[in-house]
Amino acid sequence: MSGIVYLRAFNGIILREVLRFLQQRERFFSALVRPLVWLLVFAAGFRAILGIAIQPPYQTYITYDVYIIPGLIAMIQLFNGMQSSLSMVYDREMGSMRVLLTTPLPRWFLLVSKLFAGTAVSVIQVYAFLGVSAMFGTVFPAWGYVTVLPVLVLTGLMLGALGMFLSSTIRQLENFAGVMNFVIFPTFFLSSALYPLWRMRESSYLVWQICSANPFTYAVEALRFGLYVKVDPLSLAIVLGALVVFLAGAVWGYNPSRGFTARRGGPSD
Amino acid sequence: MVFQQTTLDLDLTVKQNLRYFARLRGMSIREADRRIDEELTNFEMRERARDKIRDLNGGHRRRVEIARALLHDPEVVLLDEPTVGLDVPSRKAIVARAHDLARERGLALLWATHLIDEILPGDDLIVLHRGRIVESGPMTEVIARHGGVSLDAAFAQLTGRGEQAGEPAGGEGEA
Repeated sequence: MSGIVYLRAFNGIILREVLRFLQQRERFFSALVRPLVWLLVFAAGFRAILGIAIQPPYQTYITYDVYIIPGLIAMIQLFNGMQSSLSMVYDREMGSMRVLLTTPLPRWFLLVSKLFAGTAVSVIQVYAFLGVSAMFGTVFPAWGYVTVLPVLVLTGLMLGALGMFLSSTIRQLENFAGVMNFVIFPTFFLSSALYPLWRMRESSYLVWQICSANPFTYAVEALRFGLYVKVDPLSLAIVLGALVVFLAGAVWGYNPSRGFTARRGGPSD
Repeated sequence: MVFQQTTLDLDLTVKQNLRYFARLRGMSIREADRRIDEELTNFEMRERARDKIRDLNGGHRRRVEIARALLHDPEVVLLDEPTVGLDVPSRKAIVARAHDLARERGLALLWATHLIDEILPGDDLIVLHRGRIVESGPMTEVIARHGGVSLDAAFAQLTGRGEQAGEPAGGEGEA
């Protein structure tokens, strides 16, 4: 099978996801409102209390709203990753997953394409959010908006792969709602999204250890550096590693002869 | 392949759905649009190309799905109870259309169904009962071998009279 066939299928999967996203106005709206509420309410309140000392990549004192933006971006992508997976669970129940999986292309390729599709949607959301937050006065170096893009793709893939892996292990929609609560909130709160790690360490060594082991922390940090036209190799490496692990888990989970779908006798019953 | 459940994206248009499938099959966009136009015309759905699937009734959704299964010119089409949940006229129209396809294009259709009135005299038939093939052959021969009255009677004889539902599925092929 030639490369053009793969390319067309890849485009098809991306386009479907983006078209579907654009149809779902409420989803776009809530994807935007959620981080904005954090930014405008939470950050505004903490701005007065919490000063952030100079730490890389920042070269001066920054206000809390500037600090929290990378975490909120990662939150958008985390939510989107979970939501794409939710739609995969839904697709599987509704049957349109079968259309995808009966495509005569390798399954890993279909899943990776699906992952890129979800990431594309999350990148649209992130830039919309950055646009609105700039209107409210939280801005970054102009080039930062460009250099953050490759990082966004990487973190989007990683968080999407996490969601995909989880969705392959979950059969029913209701179960997934539970996972959202047990995965999304701990992932977000036990990371450097809201507070710098060193501050965590001062208050609780255990919490600091958990945060340091959370791949989400490194996604946030990678984005933080990306927004300042800088590279944080350690974070990028950890995000990449987590991506490989989650993706392998997802491909395994969606393999009909092994993994979770097999154990339950396939998606149909 | 046509699945029992609908597998279309409700919020996308007919054409967007079909293009998605065509891309998955590696078709170029020009080829895809040409075939989409052809098949939608065949299924009298051309004017609905820009409508969302959500706005179509069950019969029309089925037509789109069958049209979709034909886009890449397959030699064999598998249909898993494609008329389930449809009203009588839609069901008749789809059954007739399927037979036309087999006749006109020499397409092989494997049509799984519980509704044995969908099987026409010229069809090849496989009777499955509890996962086993209990009879196969052209419809008229199957009837002749089992009472010679009607397919209904033959079917009842083959699967045990009066048994509830069971696991019968008629396979229909036409070369």
